[in-house]
Amino acid sequence: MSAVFVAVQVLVVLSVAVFCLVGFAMTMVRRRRDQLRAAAFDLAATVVLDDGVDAEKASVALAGMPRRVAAEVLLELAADVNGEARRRIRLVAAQAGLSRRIERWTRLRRWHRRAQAAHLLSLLEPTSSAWDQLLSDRHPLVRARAIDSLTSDEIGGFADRILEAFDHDSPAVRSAAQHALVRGGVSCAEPIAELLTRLDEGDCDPDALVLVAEVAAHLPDARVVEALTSFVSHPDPRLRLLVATCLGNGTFAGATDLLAPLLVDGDDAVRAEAARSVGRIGGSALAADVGLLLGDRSWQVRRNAGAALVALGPIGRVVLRCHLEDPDRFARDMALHVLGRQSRLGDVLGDGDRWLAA
Amino acid sequence: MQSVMNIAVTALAVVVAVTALLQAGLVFAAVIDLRRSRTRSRHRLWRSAMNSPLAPTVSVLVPAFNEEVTIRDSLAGILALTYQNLEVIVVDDGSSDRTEEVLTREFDLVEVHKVYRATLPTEDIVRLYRSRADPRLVVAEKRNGGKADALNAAINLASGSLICAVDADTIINPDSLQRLVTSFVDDPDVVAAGGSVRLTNGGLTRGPKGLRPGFPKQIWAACQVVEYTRAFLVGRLGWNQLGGNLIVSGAFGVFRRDRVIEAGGYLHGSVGEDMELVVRLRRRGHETGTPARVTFNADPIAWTEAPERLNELRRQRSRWYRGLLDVLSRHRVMLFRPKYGAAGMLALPYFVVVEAVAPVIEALGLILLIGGLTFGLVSDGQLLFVATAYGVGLAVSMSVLILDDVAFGMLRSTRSRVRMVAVAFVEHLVFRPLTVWWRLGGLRMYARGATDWGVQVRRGFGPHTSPDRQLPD
Repeated sequence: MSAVFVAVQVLVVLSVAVFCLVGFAMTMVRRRRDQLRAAAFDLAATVVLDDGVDAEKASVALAGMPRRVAAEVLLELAADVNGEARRRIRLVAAQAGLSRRIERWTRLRRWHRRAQAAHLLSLLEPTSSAWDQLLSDRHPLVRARAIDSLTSDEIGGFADRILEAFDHDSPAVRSAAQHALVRGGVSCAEPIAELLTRLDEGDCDPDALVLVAEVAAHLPDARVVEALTSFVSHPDPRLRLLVATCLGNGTFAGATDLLAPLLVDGDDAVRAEAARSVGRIGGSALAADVGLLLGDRSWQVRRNAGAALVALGPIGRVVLRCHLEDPDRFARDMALHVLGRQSRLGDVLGDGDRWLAA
Repeated sequence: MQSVMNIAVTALAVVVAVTALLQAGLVFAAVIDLRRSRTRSRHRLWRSAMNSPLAPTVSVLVPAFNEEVTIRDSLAGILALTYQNLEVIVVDDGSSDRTEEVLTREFDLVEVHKVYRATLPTEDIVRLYRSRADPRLVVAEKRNGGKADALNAAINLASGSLICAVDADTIINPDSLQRLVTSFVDDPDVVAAGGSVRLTNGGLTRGPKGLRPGFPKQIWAACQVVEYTRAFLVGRLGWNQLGGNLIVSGAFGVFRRDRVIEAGGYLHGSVGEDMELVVRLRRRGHETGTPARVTFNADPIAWTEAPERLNELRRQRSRWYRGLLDVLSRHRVMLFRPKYGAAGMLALPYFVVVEAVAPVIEALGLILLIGGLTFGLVSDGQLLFVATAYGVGLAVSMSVLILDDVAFGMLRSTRSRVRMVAVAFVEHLVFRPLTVWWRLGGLRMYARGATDWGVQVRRGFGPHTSPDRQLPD
């Protein structure tokens, strides 16, 4: 027993010693890294601001720094700049040997190395073959990472490649593609509109169609809205819901005409969303139709209808007052609730329509 | 008498040693999980993806009861989270202090119409407010019904597909929510995800890589730093690797709202409502054939204040123990049933042996040991046996601290490491025996059917933690 006891005590002393030594070493490493990072940031800022001779010197100094630190700092700056400043960052990355290393990593078997390359993709010229390789990588996280690394001004150029990702099995790849396309904004509008039209005409996976439509619903572009609104009477309620959402995101010609059938849709969520959209675009022409929803069987629809009528202003208030005498108890209650609290509610609604958004 | 003493001391040493060895096994599992999950999480898309309008809406639920001291800082921290689709629902559960007054003054509340769907039964909501300063904030004034009731009321008011339960005295790291939500986006089978909870008792400072904790001056708070580190790295991360995670901390956890509603929400009358919900979600998942994964991610961090007074600590530990016994009793049907997977075959038996039964044996053994030492009934060999067992436990604690330091680097100086070593000894040799003693009290209260929560005196997070004021850059 005493031998075991001694062994255990030695183990305790050893673990204490390891804890202190490892901790001390790590503190030193971290401190050194923080200092290097700070210096690298100063140099990188000089490069980006391009102060002539100083920029050249800084560029050389930065290229001579540890690659990991230089990569980290350049990547952070690359996310915030474009045009000439981005070109200069890429030049420094090439001088520091980063570009060569990233391209080498794209060919490695270990997926996390390729993911690291994908993370640093912004430091490479878009003409590099690494972009193509990583955007179609076999590992879902690498592919997702590559899509996510594209900056908003680069996404438009790769929109078609990104749209291919909607067929991927991995939710990570699909969601990365969705987020990237939304970040790309109007630059992705045309390929998305084309894809929606194509999908509408042919047989396709309904889930993939919904993924594309979710992106489309957040793009304020007439071509996309036109393509998306062709699904206004689609059998899938998820698509009709997205049409309703999209119509509430901006003032498009004919939005009220398209919202009218959605207000009497068979699906509760679609009617609720349509009512909300009417409130958001100020569609006074539909005030009476929204008023009818105050007595809807779905609580969410009644709530959104009440909030939408408040957002419609005087016309909405008139409709609400009319429903104070509604034979339907639910309609009467909702009108009473909304009118009863309206002066206070109005204060909140005055701050954008975030209340409605909630 | 001597034979009773022999049995007691042997039982004490065996329990301590077995607990330590099982924990050593979990540390090993935690190392594997940490290595694997950190590689994956480094390449997850939490930063840009979660700032997209397509990210799922998260409703942060904050039950508050007499939280006038901490509620302002805590809410300011939550509203400063870098997550786009966020709503915050505070349920004032019939506070008798100035919680409501503080909320109204600090967040410019305005009363709105009290229309909501009571999907889960709760006590009445008296009034509903929305903040003019930040319309994402909803405050409900409710009749007192307990924490589970307040959380259920908040779920009724929530509109997000994900709900994040947060204690009113918790501060969340700005990117923590994004990191947790990524688990749900990447894996549709995940029903609950938890993050690390660390202590703010030593104050917080903002460093280049986020908030950093100071070292607590108060010894019991410092002991809890060691204890929390061990609990989260061993108890959560280790079980993550083995697929047996049963706890998502009530202080910071994210759930799928629809699955929580299907399961009936938080259970009224339970003092361990967070663990109970997770076990119920897992049990339901196995029974209905719908996958219900529970994950723990060590990177998302929330900060909370631990009780420093022994009396508060005693009440807290007693409550935790009663909660554990309650959950184990309610879900005993899962024990050793292969149908319930790792939860039934590994995790629940572990909780029964290590967390429920072992502390009782340890407490009784310690009482007899002290008595034996007083009357000279303990031999040197027996004492050596007990010391060896405690030594193994200490070595495990040290290995956890090394793992934490290498992986997260919360300690910034050699001085704080030396202090941490000293505290680890105190924690193991003084604090731990105290906690097992408090658990005996918990067992007595559980046997009497007590379900009260006790009161913790809040000191606030101090001047360094208000996200919009004093944090030094």
